Amino acid sequence: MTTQDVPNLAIPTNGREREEPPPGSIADLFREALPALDFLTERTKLDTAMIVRQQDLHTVIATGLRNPDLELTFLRNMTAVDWEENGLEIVYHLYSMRHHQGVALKAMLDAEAPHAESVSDLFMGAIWMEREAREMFGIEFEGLVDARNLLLDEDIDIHPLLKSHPLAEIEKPQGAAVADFTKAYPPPVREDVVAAQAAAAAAPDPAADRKSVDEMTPEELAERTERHTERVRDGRELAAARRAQGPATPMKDRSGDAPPAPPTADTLAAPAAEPAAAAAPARPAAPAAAIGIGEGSLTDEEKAERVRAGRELAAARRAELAKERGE
Amino acid sequence: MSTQQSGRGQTTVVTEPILVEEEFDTVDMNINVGPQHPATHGVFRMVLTIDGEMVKDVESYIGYLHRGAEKLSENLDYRGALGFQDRTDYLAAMNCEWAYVNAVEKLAGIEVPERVEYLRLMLAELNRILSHFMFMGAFGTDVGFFGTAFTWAFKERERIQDLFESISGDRMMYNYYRVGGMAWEPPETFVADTRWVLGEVEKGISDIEELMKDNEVMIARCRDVGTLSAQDAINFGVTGPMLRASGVPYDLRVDEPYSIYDRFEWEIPVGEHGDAYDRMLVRLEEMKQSWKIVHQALDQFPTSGPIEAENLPRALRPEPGEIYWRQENPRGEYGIYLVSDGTIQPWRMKVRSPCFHNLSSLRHQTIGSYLADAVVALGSIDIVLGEVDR
Repeated sequence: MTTQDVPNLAIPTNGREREEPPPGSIADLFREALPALDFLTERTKLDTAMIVRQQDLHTVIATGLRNPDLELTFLRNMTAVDWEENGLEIVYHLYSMRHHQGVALKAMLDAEAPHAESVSDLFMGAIWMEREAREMFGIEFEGLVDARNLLLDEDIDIHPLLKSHPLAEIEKPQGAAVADFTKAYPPPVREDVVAAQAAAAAAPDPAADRKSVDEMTPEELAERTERHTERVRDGRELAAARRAQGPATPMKDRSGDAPPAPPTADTLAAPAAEPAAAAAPARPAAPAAAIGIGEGSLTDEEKAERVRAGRELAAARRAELAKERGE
Repeated sequence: MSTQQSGRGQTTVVTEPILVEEEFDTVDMNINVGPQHPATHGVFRMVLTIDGEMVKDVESYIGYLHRGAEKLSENLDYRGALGFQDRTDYLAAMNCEWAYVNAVEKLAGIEVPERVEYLRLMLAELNRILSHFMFMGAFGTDVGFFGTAFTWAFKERERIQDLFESISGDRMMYNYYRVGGMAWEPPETFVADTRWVLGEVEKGISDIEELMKDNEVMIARCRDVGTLSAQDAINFGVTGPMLRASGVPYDLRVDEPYSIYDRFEWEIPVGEHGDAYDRMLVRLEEMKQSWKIVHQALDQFPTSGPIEAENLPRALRPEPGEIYWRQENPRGEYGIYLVSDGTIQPWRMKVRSPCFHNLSSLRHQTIGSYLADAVVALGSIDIVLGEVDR
């Protein structure tokens, strides 16, 4: 990997020759709009690329957005490329829907502490793009209002798209986070589960000497088939026996009953609490200690007291309102 | 107290509201929706701050489906990374595969035969119809007529999926495109099958149109919901039917023409208001346009010819360089940013997923709307979380 050095500007080129775009490209418009700007140009497969300095990025993008000849109003893509020892490269793809022209804007970022000025003040959609670039590459964006992780776990602090981040070890920090959590909130130890696990570990593995069908002798195969047939037969017999018993709770035949009386205005208006409470089967009272605070720990008297107090409060409120209305 | 007649001829007593509304001191409440919730179309979570029924803020949480497809692709060769494309936008897998193989081919300078272009285009456009059918079904459910829209749309979707299965052998993860061509010849009955499917789908589209377009529920629930102005939509990076519903006639098939779209007669449907109803209408019209494209392509489709480019290298080593290739997917601009360093693995592979950017505008669309409208606005974005999270 080589680097083509130009005063104050550098871009890793991977050994390729930087091809200049043809005259009349969008770079000329930028040259007119920003005469003092020092930049390189490159012709890529589809777009004209401009390589600028990191500190010029925001100015160039804002100019592209506002200049009537450019009108690069559409930030279609933003990402970064990790060139390892040569640093991080940031890439913006901008497009003008009016002039049908686009540009790829690139800059090399500070290798020690990669940072760039946020363009979320120009593009509302840039917030998510910058949040993604921040978590994936560790680029700090100055002026980004929301710097939380977007795609990764909230409290995870890794930058997976850096080449230094190995593919397999991605599990490690996540495992560490889980371990921290478990340490802070240890799960309750259940003696019966521990005992069952110990017993299972001590017991011989039934699968250890299990043979596949291909490895079996004809006798073993015949025995296996017999066993399976028996099991199927047992299941069928069991099902037939259950069917013979009939349904577990036979439904009550209600065909002869009289239809329920339709509700009238009186029954609807009357408070339905008392008859309903009488009809409903009594719920077994849960032991108060098991439930703790809450409805379950109230006695029936306490509940009735609360309901009565609530009704009184509502009546008072109603009277107050009626008074205000002048009734 | 007043009485009113209810439907069954019984008299119901309606109590007048005793407390007037100003009496209440309202409190901001946070409502968590998702990540497992039918209205979020996948594993998407949003925390709504509501005051009464009014949405005051929306916080989106994504990433539940993040699999690191970019990192994984950078550790595979160019051909091996193709499988991930089926799994980004799994409702438009053909389109995603096409975008990826196109990017690699343009980077490596591979030309594909004309027959391949036709086949790719037809499958991608059929997949667009499929994807929009899926939208119609899911959106109908969001809006409030569960059942009819869903089953009608899925019936048609299944027809196209059966066709894809007969070609690729898989129902959703086709993996049929290859760098430089297609995996294998389509079956001999391909043209006849596609014609039959097109005939059925045409009926399906008109059914769905009758069901959705002038539906009173649809109009009442979707007009002026989730409105995005053209300027805001562009500023958010919104693309696809959502952007066109806001009145911007931006379609990559025309604006930055690729493949052979210039050989067919079709139009770009554009909306006016940028609300959920227009988004639905634009998608409805797009289905008809895609239908027209496939119909014309079938007529021109060369019945014989190579299905793969000649002299394909065994190990693909594109020259050092880069490409940002973009294509019009059913959900918008699907971009593949590839950087080559001359080896068999891409140095950098980035997927620009349209849903990611479309979804980022959700907060802007829903603040100040009713809670129930937030669900409709989210549904009208037509998100696929596999593509948002990659």
